[in-house]
Amino acid sequence: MHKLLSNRITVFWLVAPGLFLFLFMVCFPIAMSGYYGTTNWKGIGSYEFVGLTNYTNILFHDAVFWRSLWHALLLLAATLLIQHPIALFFSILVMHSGRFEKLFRAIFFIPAVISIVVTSKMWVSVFHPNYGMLNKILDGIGLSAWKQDWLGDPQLAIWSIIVVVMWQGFGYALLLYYAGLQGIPKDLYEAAELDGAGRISLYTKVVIPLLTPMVRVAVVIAVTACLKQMETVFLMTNGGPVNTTQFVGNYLYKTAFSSSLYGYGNAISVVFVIICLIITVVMNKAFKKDVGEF
Amino acid sequence: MKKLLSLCTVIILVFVLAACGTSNNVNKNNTDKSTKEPAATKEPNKDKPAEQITLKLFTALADRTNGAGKIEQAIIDAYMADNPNVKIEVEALQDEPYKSKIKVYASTNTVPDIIQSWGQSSFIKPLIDSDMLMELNADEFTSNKFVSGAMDGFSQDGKLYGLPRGADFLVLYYNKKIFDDNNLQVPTTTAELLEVSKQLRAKGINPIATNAMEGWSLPIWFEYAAQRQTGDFNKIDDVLAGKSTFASDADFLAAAQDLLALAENKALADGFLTADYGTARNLFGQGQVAMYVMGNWEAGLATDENFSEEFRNNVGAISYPTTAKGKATDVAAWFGGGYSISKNSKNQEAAVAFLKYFFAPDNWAKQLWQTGSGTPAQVFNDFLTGNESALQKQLVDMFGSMTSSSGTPFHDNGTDEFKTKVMESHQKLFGKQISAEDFLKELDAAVSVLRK
Repeated sequence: MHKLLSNRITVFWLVAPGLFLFLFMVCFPIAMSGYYGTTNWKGIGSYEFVGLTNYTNILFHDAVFWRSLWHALLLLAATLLIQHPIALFFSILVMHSGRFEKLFRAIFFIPAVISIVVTSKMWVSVFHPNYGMLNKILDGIGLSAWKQDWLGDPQLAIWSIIVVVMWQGFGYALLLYYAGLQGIPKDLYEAAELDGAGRISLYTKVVIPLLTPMVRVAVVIAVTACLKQMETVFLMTNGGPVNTTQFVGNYLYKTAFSSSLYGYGNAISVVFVIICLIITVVMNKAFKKDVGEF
Repeated sequence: MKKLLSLCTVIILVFVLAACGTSNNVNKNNTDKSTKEPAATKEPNKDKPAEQITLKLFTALADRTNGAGKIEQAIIDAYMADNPNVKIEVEALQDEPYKSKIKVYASTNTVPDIIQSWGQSSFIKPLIDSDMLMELNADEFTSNKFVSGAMDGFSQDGKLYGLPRGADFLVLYYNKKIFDDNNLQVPTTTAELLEVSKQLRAKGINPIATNAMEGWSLPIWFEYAAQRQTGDFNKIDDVLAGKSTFASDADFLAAAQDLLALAENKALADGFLTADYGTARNLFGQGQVAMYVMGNWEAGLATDENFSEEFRNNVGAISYPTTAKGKATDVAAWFGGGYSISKNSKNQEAAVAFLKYFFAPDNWAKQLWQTGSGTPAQVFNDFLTGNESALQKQLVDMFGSMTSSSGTPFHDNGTDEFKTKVMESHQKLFGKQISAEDFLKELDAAVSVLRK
């Protein structure tokens, strides 16, 4: 076996299928995008080579692009600082809810199962200023002054979107932490109790540190989900009002398909890929530390 | 290891280079095909005249069970019944997805035989310039009685590339009941429009709805506002032609300020910036909004069973409120969607024959009018039944008494990039994000995109 694997040609043929798939599905389209990014292609007809103009425009003159990226970071911060702690807390509660455990697990996962189109459109209705449930409830409990145009107000819209995206992703985060908690051996709990650890120190000192590998996975998933956020925004506001809820994916789509600036749109995608690669490298560096075995 | 690495780099390089190479090859193959195929297919056609023909029709009338889409499908079905050797395959998508997909078809040189086209340069010009549409002979369609000027948008350099399906114009729909209940009059001047909006707001009623999320109704609205200040729809065309600018004209500034005043007094329904077509229409139909800025194609509001009978009996329409300079007979009207035939179509003759049938006066024009689904771009006086809804009568009167019209909506008079910029600056103005002066500057910046 060892002899077989030390043969470079064998290794090459074993790796080849996956490598070719990766080349054709990932590297090849990116290279094509990089090429089209240097043209002023409008989707129909001929195009000219414009050098790096598109790229410099994106990096130095395109406020909407940077704003979209900023929104992704905002969403990421909210996901990590609000959604994940709540998900962790609820996963602990679910684990201790005895015979209701399965029921709660199912209930919390429902938003993640329903199609994003359905939940997005549902939230659009909930937020609607005239017939939306949210404003009606505020009216009903005497807080009419708090009523807002949740998706139409440029200051508020991005937060409304963030709440919806967090709600949609809550089930997955909860499930991840729940699975992580299941993976911690029961004897560790017993040992901690014998050593006199209380409820709070049991979790802060023993359980949560042991969850680190799962936190790592959850963070990686959150980062990718936030960066590639597109469908919820597209369905709820399409980036509006006036690009105040724009995300890179949606901006790219709008540039290429609504404004017919395919060259520019391709350039955005390439710049975006590079930014994502940088973030991935940084994340890998940050997560190098190991927790050890248990 | 080093060897393996270098092997990988070589492979990647090969594929990257191959990528650049293949795109050229594809183009070559396509041009080869287009020159060879007509010759190859013509001969068998002569031998067997009743050969089975399949026509692909790509349309943006996505709703096949209501309104114009239903009529289109009915005519197609009738044509296939009359001509058993012709099979018409329909692909239907909503406007925006339609416009995206047609670009995919165009860039892969596989445009369907008959496509919906818009007689507006943002849509039709790239297709004509890339030599993808077949030139039509206007003389062949004289019996279809198109209204004069209807084919202008579909023509370039004196050649005709498409046929218009309907005439469109923007109107102000109103719900009479809301006005009566609150002792208000339907506004006839722009000053009254602002005043009525304030009063409706004071009573907790949303004044005006429109689909500002998509954004295309706003520039047409601005055309109205500008005409009411300048007295001339052509002034915007002059700006587009480079003869003047928006920012330098006091009348345009006044028009922008009029719209800003509406926005500042909350004349637009709550959440209008995120309201899409369906949302805006439903708000009006459910009696939650007093007025609705939309095209004449919504004549069916008066017969839509989804809305209450009370609403259906109370809906009416007027031209945009007037000033001393702009009259109610100056209407923002244009010829919208129609059909074109692909230059690469193997069955061009069959496609032309179908369009002749489609536009025969008894088919499209009559059925469209009598179902209240829109206003045909053909002469339809013969088809007035006397049973039209009050709303339909108001609309046809407006159309009939028109003394000047805007022509193609100005955001459609350029590239898609121009269109997006124009619509976005309108969304900013209506959303109170910019001043009237900055709005005009942004419009000028958008126009400069056309000059590049």
